[in-house]
This record gives sequence, C-alpha cells and structure tokens, in this order.
Amino acid sequence: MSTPEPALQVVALTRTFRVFERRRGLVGGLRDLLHRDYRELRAVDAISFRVAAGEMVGLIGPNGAGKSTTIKMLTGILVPTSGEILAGGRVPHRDRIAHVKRIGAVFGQRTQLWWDLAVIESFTLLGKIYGVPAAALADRIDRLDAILDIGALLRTPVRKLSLGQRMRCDLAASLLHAPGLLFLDEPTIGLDIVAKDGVRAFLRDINRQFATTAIITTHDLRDIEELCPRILILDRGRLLYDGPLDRIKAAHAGRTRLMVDLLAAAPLAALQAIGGAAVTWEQVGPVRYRATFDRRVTRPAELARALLNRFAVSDLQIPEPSIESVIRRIYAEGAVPPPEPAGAAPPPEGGRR
Amino acid sequence: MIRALTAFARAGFLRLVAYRLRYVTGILTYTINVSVYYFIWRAVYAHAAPGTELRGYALSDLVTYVALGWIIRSFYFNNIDREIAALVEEGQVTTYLARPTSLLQAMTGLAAGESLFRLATFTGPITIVIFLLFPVGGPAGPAAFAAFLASAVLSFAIFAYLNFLVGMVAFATRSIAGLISAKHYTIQLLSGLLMPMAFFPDWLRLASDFLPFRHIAHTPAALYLGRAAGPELLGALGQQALWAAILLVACRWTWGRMVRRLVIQGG
Repeated sequence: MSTPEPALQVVALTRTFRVFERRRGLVGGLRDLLHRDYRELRAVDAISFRVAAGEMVGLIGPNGAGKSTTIKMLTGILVPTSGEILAGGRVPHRDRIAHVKRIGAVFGQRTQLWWDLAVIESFTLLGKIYGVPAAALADRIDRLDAILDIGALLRTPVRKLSLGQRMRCDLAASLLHAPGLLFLDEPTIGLDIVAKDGVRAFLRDINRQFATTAIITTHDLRDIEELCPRILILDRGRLLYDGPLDRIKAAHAGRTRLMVDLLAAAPLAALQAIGGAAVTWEQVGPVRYRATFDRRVTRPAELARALLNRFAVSDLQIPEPSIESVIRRIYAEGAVPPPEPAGAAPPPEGGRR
Repeated sequence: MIRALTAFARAGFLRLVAYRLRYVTGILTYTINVSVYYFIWRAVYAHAAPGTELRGYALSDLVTYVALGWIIRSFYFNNIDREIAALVEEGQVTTYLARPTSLLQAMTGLAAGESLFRLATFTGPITIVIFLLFPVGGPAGPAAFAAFLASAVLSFAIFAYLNFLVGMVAFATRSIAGLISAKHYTIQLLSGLLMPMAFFPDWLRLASDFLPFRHIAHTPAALYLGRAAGPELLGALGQQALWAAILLVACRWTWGRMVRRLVIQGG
C-alpha cells in the first residue's frame, strides 16, 4: 500500500513579528517618539507536521501559543517568515485565491454570514463567490440540512439567530463549496452544553460523510476527546507534541486527582489510611480533601469505593485535567511523550530553553 | 467575477429591505435639505429683479440644480468607508481575505445593489415630493436628460471609489471617524451639491477642475440644465468617466498593496 498524498504538509514553519517595545515613564515616552525599539517575537517556531486526507487534527495550546498565527499561515492569509507549507500541491500564500477556493474556515468568534441577510441569501452569495453552480448548491444545502438541521433557519436574518443556530449555519456556509480542507477556530466557543454536543456531532458526521480533512483549534478538551484522535500541542510557538490524545493523558495518569467533600471534617491521618503510600492526601478546605495518585497503580474506582465505605461523603469528583494544566506540566517538566515512530513530526529541537 | 458582483448587488438590495424606518426618515431628510437650500436661494434672489441671473443662474435654475443634486444623491449614496472601518475594527477583514473575492468587488457590489434598491423605492418618491413642493424645471432636452442619467451612474462610481479609498485608510490608522466627516463636508462643498461651481472663488473653482469631486453632483445637474451640449456634453461625460477609471485603478492598486501588507505584516 502506498502512502496517500498528505492533505497538508508543513516543514519548519516559522513566523516572527516585530513588536514595538515601549520605554517606561515620561522621558521614555518622549524617546519613543524619536526612536522606537523593536523586539523580535517568534510566534511560530520551526514547526513540522503532516495531515493525511480525511484526518481530524486538534491544534491546542494556551493563549499566545501560536495557534492563530499557524492557522492564518495555513489559510494563506499570512506569509511565513521561513519554512514551507504545501496544501493540495499549492503554497497557500503564493496562490492565495486558488488556495482559499478549496478550503473552508470557521472562526467561532466571528461570522462569515451577512448580518442583515436571511441565511439562504448569504448561502446564495457564497455559492456565487465560490462559483458553485445553482443546482449543485441546492443539493449541497439539502445534504447539509440533513446533518445540521438548518432548513427552518434559512429564511431568518442572521442577526436573529441564537449563537448555536448561527454556528450551525456558519459551519454549513464553510462547506457549501465542498472544501477538501476545513479550518475550525474554536467552533464551540460560547455555546451551551447542548449546542456544543450538537456541533461536535455535526463535525463527526461531516467528517464521515464528506471525508473532509479538518484542523480544529480549541480550548475545550471535550472537543478534542470527541473529535480528534490526534493532537498537536503548541506552546510559545513550538510544537511540543504530535500524537494521540490518549498517550498524553496516559503520560499524566501519574498525577490523577480526586477531590472529596466529607459531611464532617476528618483527621488527615484517617484519609491517609486509604490507598496507602501510593496516594498523597491534602486538606484543601474545611471538609474538602484532595488525593493525588497514579491511576495506573491505584484504580480511581477503588479509591472512591473505599472512601464511600468509610466516610460520609457529600461530593466526590475526579476532575479531568484542563488542556492548560496538561500543557503547562508538559512544558514545565519537559515531559513530552516519545513521538510516533512513523509519520509524525521530529521532536522539537534544542529541548527546553 | 461579474457573477459574484451581481450576487453582491442582490445581497446589497436585500439588505436594505430590512430597514423600513430609515426609508421614511430618509424621504423626510431629503425634503428638508432641499427646502433649506430652496429658501436660502430665494432669500439670495429676494431683492433682485425677477429674471436676474447671478453667475449665469436664474433662481429657477438654482432651484432645479439643488433639487436634482439631492435627488441623485438619494441614488448614488453609500457608506462603503464606514463599512470598511467597521470590518477593520471587528477584525472581519480576515474573513474577506480567506475568500476568493476582493473587498473592492464585495463593497462596490453591495453598494450597487443598495443604489438600485434606493433607485426603485426611494428616489422615485423623493422626486415626486420635491417636484410637488418646489418649482423644479424639466430637463433641457432629451439629449440633456439622457446625458444626465448616464452621468448619475458615473456619480455612483466616483462616490463609491472615493469612499473605498477613504475606507482603506482605516487599515493604517484604526479609527477614521474624523476622516469620514472631513470627507463628508469636502464632498458636500466641492461636489457642487450646495451650489454650482460658478459661485466659488476663482482659485477654488480652478482647483475643483482638477479634482474628482465636482463630477459627483455638479456634472449631472449641469447636464440636466443643458449647460453643456454637443461635443461639450460628451466632453463632460468623458471627463467623468476618466475620473471613475482613475479612481478604480487607484482602488485596485491600494487594495492590492493592502493585501500584501496584511499578508506580510499580519494585520
């Protein structure tokens, strides 16, 4: 079996910005008028990865990690400082118009629909912009309606839609011209839980039905868990990890946490009897205690059962680590799991700075 | 290309349907504006003998000139500059860059649709109201009237391109509220909307010959009044068309540079 052509190939992609550094104080302000000091900021620092056709990849990282800059370069609206991008045989920024014709983009914070127009009118206009024949457009809208259930919204002006409805319409809008590559920038931001679930289900369906390759940036770990078998973790412009989410989680199983609220305070020693030396107990509130343990050694369910048997428990939870905390720990500890043996990016060069 | 332009025009047309109140207040505003200038000019001519001409215009000519100026303004007007400023402020320009279309095409298309909408629903009623209320004269002849119609279309192009260029400044300075209002008054004065160029001091009239503004209001109204005939008529239209072409090239060039700047510097 030969390796299929990747939908996207990125090699040593780098982008620097010149940032104006303000001097302090009144005199500094005056000196700024005469001569400005610039500092070079590496927003994206030599990242490499490939995305196979039909794959859904999560691009995650804290604010300022370089996600948006990366997406802008991949969509062709920002020129890289160095490095290469190849998408469908094209260099996005060199061939911007041809490139954007075959990609779709959804920016969760913004809409690409026209505020005062009925949804269907925005769709018609987008169809014309992308040169989709009328019959093909109607057929496409039908198919998207079957997945996104937007038929009832088509005659409504965009400004009257709820955020969840708008997001569904924005997703449909980005898929009208049957793009091979889809960029989703925080597609569930600001949505309630039901709407978030809906959007995730639609994205899975779209991926299955149209085999659309998608790159998703998000701050919501659930998005990644439900959509992306593979994640790229960026921090301060560098690619820290490229591989399945499970492996990241496994690598951090050693720091699983359990929070328990008791009905009445208990001595810490009584809790320490549970789980033995493998579990570290701390008191974090009047009746709240925290256990830190390795879930490969101590099973969370056993720990919970022991607690429930011996104490009057009012609440008990095993919080999922947030993306931020996982990334922060990866960065602080340099605890990057080994890269995939084949097809994945080389580990970031130079290690920690 | 053309298909997308007409699609934008359709969208611009539909977008205006949404605002009915603006429609009613619009008719009122235009009627009030014409009233103001009508009474001002009547006061100017009050002590002159009937039939007196000032700088080549009788009172009846001026009333017609001012009325026509406002009537066609109800057609060519648009807010492209404000819309671009809003797009820049909201960071929506990215959305346009990520599409196979240019902002110039999108903006002029939307504006053309709006203008067609206003022509159909707004300019008609305003024309009727103004003709009923004020002693507005007819066109100088069929050729003058045809030239006037063609000229009004070119007014749209010049006005739209000027607004687009003003909007482009928003990329450099973020806020262009001051510039927009400066442009508003510049156009109101130098387009000849308030008075014909003949009433300007010599130096300003001479300067306005080398500027595009007078082709927005003065040229169509002067053509309607028959101030240019034969080769002069064609010359006036030709000059107007030349300015439209120059501004179109300027818009394209500026947008191209803006795209390059945005794409290289990252907005």
